[in-house]
Amino acid sequence: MVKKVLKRKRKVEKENETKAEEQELPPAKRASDEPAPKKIKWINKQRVLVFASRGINHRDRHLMEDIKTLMPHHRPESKMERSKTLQVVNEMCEMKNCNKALLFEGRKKKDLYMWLSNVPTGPCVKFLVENIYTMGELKMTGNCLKGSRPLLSFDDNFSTCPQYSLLKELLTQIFGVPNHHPKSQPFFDHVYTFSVLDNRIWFRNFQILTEDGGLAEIGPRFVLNPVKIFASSFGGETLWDNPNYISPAKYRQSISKRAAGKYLNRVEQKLALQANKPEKSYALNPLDEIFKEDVTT
Amino acid sequence: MSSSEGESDYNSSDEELQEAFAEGKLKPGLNAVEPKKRQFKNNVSAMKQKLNEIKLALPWVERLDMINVPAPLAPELALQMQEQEVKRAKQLKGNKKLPQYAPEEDPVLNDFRRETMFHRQAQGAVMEGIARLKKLGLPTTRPDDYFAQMAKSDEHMQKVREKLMKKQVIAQRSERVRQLRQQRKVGKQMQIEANLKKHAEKRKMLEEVKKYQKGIRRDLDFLDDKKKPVSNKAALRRVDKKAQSKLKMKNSKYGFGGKKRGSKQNTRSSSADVSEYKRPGNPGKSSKSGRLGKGKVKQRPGKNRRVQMKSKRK
Repeated sequence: MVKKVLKRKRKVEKENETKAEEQELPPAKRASDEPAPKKIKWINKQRVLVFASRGINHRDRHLMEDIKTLMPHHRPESKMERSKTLQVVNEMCEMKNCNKALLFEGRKKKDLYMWLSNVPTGPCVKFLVENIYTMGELKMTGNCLKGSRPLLSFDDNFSTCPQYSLLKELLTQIFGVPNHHPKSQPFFDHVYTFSVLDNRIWFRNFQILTEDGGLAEIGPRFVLNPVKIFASSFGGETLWDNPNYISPAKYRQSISKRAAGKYLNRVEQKLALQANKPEKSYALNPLDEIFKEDVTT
Repeated sequence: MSSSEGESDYNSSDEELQEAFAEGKLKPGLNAVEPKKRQFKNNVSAMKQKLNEIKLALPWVERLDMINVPAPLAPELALQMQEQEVKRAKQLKGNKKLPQYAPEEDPVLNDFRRETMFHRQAQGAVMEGIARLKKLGLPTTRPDDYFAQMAKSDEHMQKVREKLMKKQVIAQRSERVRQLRQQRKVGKQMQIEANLKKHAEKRKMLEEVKKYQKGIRRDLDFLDDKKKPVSNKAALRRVDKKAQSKLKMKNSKYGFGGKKRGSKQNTRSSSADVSEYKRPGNPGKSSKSGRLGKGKVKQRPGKNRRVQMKSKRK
């Protein structure tokens, strides 16, 4: 018995050692005389200016905060006045030393638009954001390190359609956390999925529980309905228009119109019934009543 | 519809319209303006050019992007999906007020199916991405003693946990209530059965007692031992012959079982039955007719004899 236990212990120790070797932990002690270890290269220097224009509602603001927590490479900015033209954003980015911009634009405290832009040269995309669930939602049970690098998963459509492949590049550069970013973490514990369904891009964020495919959703969730792609940053020639896009205002209008049409239809039907009602229900022959009784009796 | 000329002259004066009509450019009928169709831009070459411009020529580790198909459906997920599908079909069938979808719209509007699809896509990405990272020799999992700030605070995660627990408790309670209800149903059934059995036993017992009283049975084995059918049979075999014959006679006389009322009344068939009728013979030759003819005819004794016999019997 004793021998067996010992053997087991030894085995466990051996395993631990091998594990430790694999992970290559930094040394526990380090003398101050030694020169500081050389910083690892941080090549992909993306900086994203994340901000909103005035007029977004609380949920949209929370979504923006969630995106900021997930993106260590973001730069904050105070809310922008709506009266300014969007060209101003380019200058703001330049001042903040950012090469990407993520702008939330609210309308009527109801609709949220998201602009993604590659700042000096373009392209720039405008999305309508639908179906927003923030990270505060209690049904999303996952969690991840703040600032860890996500795996980005795109579905097949992003390789076939030219507009989607352009969007893929833009999304990758904006949402992907640069390698060796000082605020990032060295582990991979969540994955973003971008899938095209119903002419929209659906965004989901999952925590990696186990490496063989156990997942838990972290949030946020949102659906990006692309409206337009512009050639340069916040302006320029239109490269692509979404033919299936219906603006939310128009959609609401159509619903109210349909409801109005219901009443009109009913009134018209009533009028038509009155107009078309025959005065006589049946063309009776007055002579028919003469021989009403049996003639033979 | 009007020609293009007519369209452009929509707001023009009457004279111009008359001229156009005279030239035959306007045709009789309703002339309406055609709504201008919006041209949707789709500049593929420019988009491709733009893509080439902005594309970062960096190794995969810097980008971590993948294009992947959904992972194969896990069996437990498939089962769950099937259950959901059945449940949904039932729900939709039961309630016409719920929005009814066209089947091609279903992946968009069916929440469970859609989310499962995204989940599978993420699974595919994890399996591919982690393998690639491991090949590059990068650490993927966080060691247990590595603590850092998380995206969601501990407070929030506590809330999430509480909610999960609450949900679980609710599910458990409803399950228990369901079980109790089921148990009650089964218990009631069992009670009814037990009652019936009791009654049947009592009836049987009473029958046996009756048999004993009438003398068909001689022993009282059935009283102390219910579970001996063999001995019971043996007891039945030891039946009193005399009692049995007596019973048979009584049965034939008073009837046994069935409805008694009106059984002795004449019916159509009984009154029509003439099989027992015998035509009366001639008064003088009466001794020769019938079976009795051969033997001695038993004559009724005379009045005096009869009185005597009666007094003797007393």
